[in-house]
Amino acid sequence: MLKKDLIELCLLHLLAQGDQYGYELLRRLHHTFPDTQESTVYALLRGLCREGCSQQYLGAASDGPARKYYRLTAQGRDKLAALTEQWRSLRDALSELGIGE
Amino acid sequence: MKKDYMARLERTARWWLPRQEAQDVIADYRDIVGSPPRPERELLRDLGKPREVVMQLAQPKVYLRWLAVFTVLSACILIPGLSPFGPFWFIWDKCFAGPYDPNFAFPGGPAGHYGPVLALLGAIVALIWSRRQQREEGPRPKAILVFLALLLAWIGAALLLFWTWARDPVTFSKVWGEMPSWIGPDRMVSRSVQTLLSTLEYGGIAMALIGESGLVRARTKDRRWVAVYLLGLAAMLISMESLALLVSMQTPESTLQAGWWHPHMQYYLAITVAGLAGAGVSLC
Repeated sequence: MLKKDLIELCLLHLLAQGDQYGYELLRRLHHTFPDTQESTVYALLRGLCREGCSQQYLGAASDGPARKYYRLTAQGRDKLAALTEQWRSLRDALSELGIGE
Repeated sequence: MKKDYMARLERTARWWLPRQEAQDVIADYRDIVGSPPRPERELLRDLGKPREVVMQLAQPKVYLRWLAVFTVLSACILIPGLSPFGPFWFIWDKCFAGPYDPNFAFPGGPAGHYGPVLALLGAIVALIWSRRQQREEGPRPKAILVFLALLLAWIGAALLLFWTWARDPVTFSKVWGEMPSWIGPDRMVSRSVQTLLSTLEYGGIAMALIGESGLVRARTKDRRWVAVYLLGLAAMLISMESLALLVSMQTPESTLQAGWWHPHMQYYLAITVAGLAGAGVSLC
């Protein structure tokens, strides 16, 4: 599992909790992975859209122009489940070796 | 500083990404860069250089497809358009037939006359590419009309020069202040004819470069700039064809009959009409 997959897992996880404003999503992920540039997170988010794992739409904003929001699709839920499973396997494998204990 | 960063990002995105995707990305980055506003140093740290930002989004296959189209279109206008330059003289021979070529014939003669073929290929590919692009919604940029007017003025001037000379070369030379001295095997040309040749040569090269700039703007600014590429092709072709005709002639007065130039003029007018029609279609 690469760092790219971990960031995708986080993006999908956040989207699973509810539709998200794109910029807010980037800020949160950049805060979690400070050594990863926002542009990298943005590229991964667009990649998820291109794969059909998420969709974007313009949502109304009370104090300004419409904002772009992202929502999870059924395909995105499948990918989230697959990545979560990969993450669990990796975590178990590392635990078996005593890493992180 | 923020504007500089966005300007660079916009330019890079429009070149590397398909139009719709570039517009989406630019809109998103306006949001990212502007909320809250950050100095350029921070933008470079948090986002990376504009080129790095765009390269993360570019799909190699899609970009290579555009690059192939761009290469073909550039070759179609620049190879014939730059062929009169000294180092490219061998290309000139292939594109418009050399001055000493006994098989010279227009167009598509047996001696190799690929200039019009390349121009036709460029026009067809440009029109297909242009129609496949997303339709532009905004008002037509005025600069396109200025460039089209410039190209059309050049075509008019080139046709007028050719017509004036072809109808009566002796008088034409007199008007320019000297008698022709180019009749004969030494191919010496009068200053007036030399000026005409140079005007067509450098004018044609300039038209090719204007057409090429239209192509770049069609990608990075507005699809309708393809009109400039198409009319630039026509202007370049008329310049080069009439130049090729003039430098191919050895003794026009003694061997040519009255009205010899009519088919040539009809050919140039047909190129003009085709160029205008292509430009009109791509403006829609």
